[in-house]
Amino acid sequence: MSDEVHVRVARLWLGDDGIVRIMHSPGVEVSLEDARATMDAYLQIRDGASRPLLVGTLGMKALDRGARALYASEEAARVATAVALIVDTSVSRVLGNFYLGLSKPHIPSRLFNDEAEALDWLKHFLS
Amino acid sequence: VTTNADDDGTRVQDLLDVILKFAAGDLSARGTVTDDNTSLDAVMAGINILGEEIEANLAENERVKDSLRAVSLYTRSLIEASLDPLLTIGIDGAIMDVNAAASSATGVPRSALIGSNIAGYFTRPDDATAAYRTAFADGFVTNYPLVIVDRAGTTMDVLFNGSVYNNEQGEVAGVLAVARDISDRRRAERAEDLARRDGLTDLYNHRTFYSLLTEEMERAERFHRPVSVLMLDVDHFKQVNDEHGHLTGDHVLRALGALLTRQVRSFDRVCRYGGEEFTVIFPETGSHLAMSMAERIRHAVAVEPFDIGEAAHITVTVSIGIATYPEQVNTISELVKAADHAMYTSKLQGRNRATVYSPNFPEAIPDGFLT
Repeated sequence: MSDEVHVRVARLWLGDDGIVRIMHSPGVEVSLEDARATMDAYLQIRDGASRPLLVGTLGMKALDRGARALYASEEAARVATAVALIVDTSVSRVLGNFYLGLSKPHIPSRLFNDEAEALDWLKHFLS
Repeated sequence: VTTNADDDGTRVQDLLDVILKFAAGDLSARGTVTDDNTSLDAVMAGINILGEEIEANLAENERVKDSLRAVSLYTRSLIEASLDPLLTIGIDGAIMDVNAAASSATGVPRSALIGSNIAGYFTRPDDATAAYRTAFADGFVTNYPLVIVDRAGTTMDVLFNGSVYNNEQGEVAGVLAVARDISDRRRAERAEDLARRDGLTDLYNHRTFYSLLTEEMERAERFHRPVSVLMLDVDHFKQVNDEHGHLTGDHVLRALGALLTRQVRSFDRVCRYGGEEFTVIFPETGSHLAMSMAERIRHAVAVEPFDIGEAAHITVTVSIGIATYPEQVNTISELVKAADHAMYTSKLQGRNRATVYSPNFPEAIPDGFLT
């Protein structure tokens, strides 16, 4: 496991399984600037490879349009292989569904309630 | 997380406030999502995203509209910048759009042009219909000559060019056409043609005869082919003028010019050399064939009753001389002189005959023989 990197809204690390974890802090509202900072942090820890991402949205209260667009962009698709979103609250489920439905991400993306199931799915996207 | 009824009532009121602001046009309104993560928080989060999306989409729509307006203005200015009439035509021939130049050319306001049939603005409506139908059938039409006529009857020579354009489904939607004004060019061509022709007979004049003969001799030399010249003079034409007047004489000359044109081949050139003298250039024709044609012309003239008015007719005869390059002569002046010489030989031998030039002819023509 790599060292954790912290940004304003999340902490990130590369697991021994080759999957990057992005765990958001409770109650955060994610703006485009936050999304850029998170992506920059991911680029630091990914070890040069395109990796699957496990994204925890614990207690996230908002994910604005700019942030959704950046995560769903071709730019993001060039550096990551898949995204599993853990939606553990009603609010994060709503945010996740809008993300998948309106932003139409360029890489395989799914919502999960269970982290283990998410990791199993992400393993298919290890290069 | 536990909530009580008062809390829920407040949250529902918050939701309602956001929705009412949306209804009032304030799409920037957002509600608070608490850390409680209740269903009402989830609804509020969803409402916030919907507001954000609607606001962004409306802004994008405005940008697209502005962009379309700019493109439309640009396109309109390009169309209007054309000094030539521009128009779009539907498959039924109805005009769909025009520029100011089209209104000016037809003398009809844009509003009246739109919806009317294109054929009605040309001197030959059938040709105009054929032109736009060609564009629909072949995808384009190029330099189709037409004449626009305006309300006052003034005409404009144009070359009609058009090509089809498609709608979003890829189907042919119409023809975009430009009618290029070539009136100045046509006027210049007509002026040039007038300068090349004789005013009385409309045949090529003396100067053009030499110009055409020069071209034919150059061609004959290049391709080693013969060219013959026929010189024709009306016998006793002075008597026609004296007995019937000069107007009748002019009428006979016009009719004779028309008869000569009918008697020769399409590529032969009939000219009025001067007075009652005519010439014909026979390209790629040796003396033997030229003589046959001369005989045919002589006979045709001799049997033609020339109408001189009041149901009266006269007949005339002609004397003809033939000379051929390079069989008999080497230069253009020798060729004309030889044909002239042969023609006077016909006169000397009794008129109403055709003679092929021979170098053995006597050089001198008797004085006073020309009339």
